Amino acid sequence: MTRDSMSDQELDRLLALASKPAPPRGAEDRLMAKINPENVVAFRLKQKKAQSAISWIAALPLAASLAFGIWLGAAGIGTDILPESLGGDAVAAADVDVFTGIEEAETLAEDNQT
Amino acid sequence: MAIGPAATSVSGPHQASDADLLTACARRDHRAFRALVDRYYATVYRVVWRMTGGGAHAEDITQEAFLKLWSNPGQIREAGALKGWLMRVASNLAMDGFRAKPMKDLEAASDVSDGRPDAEEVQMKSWAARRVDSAIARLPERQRLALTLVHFEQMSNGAAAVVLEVSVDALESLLARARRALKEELAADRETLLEAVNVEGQIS
Repeated sequence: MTRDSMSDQELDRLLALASKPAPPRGAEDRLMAKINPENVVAFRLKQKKAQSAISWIAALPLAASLAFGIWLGAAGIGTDILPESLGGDAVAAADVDVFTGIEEAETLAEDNQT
Repeated sequence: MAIGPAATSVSGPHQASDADLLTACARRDHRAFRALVDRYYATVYRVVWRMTGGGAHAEDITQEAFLKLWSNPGQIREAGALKGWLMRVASNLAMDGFRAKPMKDLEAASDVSDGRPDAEEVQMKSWAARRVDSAIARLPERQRLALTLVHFEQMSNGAAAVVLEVSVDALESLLARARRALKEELAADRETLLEAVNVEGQIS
């Protein structure tokens, strides 16, 4: 046996130095929590159904109002209560020259050339 | 959450046999499962810790092994083999995880002095423990598992061979190679480590 060689007894003594880890505190409780059905959040189907019914009830008057509006428009009832600006004549009466200024631009261009 | 009649035939779940507790677990008895957890959790955790080189995910792996047991207790044909089954499942999970994530260097962990008069001796003992842990962590995984089961968990060679799914001769060969490798690995620090053994004796 050389000076640095190690006997079985010495190795056993060294192995006794090895760590002896203990589970982290509460590890067993955390495991039990994973299998505990009390921790499972159940899907609340009844409440979901109730919410769905309420939304349909709220949609009924909206749908009726829309249908009534379409019927009024088709029958031409109440068109006289609309403001004039929403009529077709308002756009036709506009003077395009007021908005474009094309004449002034042409004059300016001629002045610059001369 | 009532424990079954088999398990209540004795004074409580913690005194019941593994077979009774497994039967109760199959009926989704939480108290029976808790008794098995209390009985084997620390042992399984130590093996996983050793196989992962002190990895932070040792708890997750240990829990996963127990959850596999809870999900299907009927897969254990012989209740006497429960401990070995847990060891095998946990060590396989640990080795799979180890292949995916490199082991942390146990020796690289820093010492923290607590300022007490014997802090130097405690520090020396801590260094020696990490040196030995690190040498064990460098062993090939099957040698490490064989050494862990037989040396640290005091399993018989036969029981450890079942966990490793090898013959007893093959297990003894793994053990012999593990010990030889450790001797070579620790030879350079032999004197200092043996001194730490003496310090260990004085402290404890």
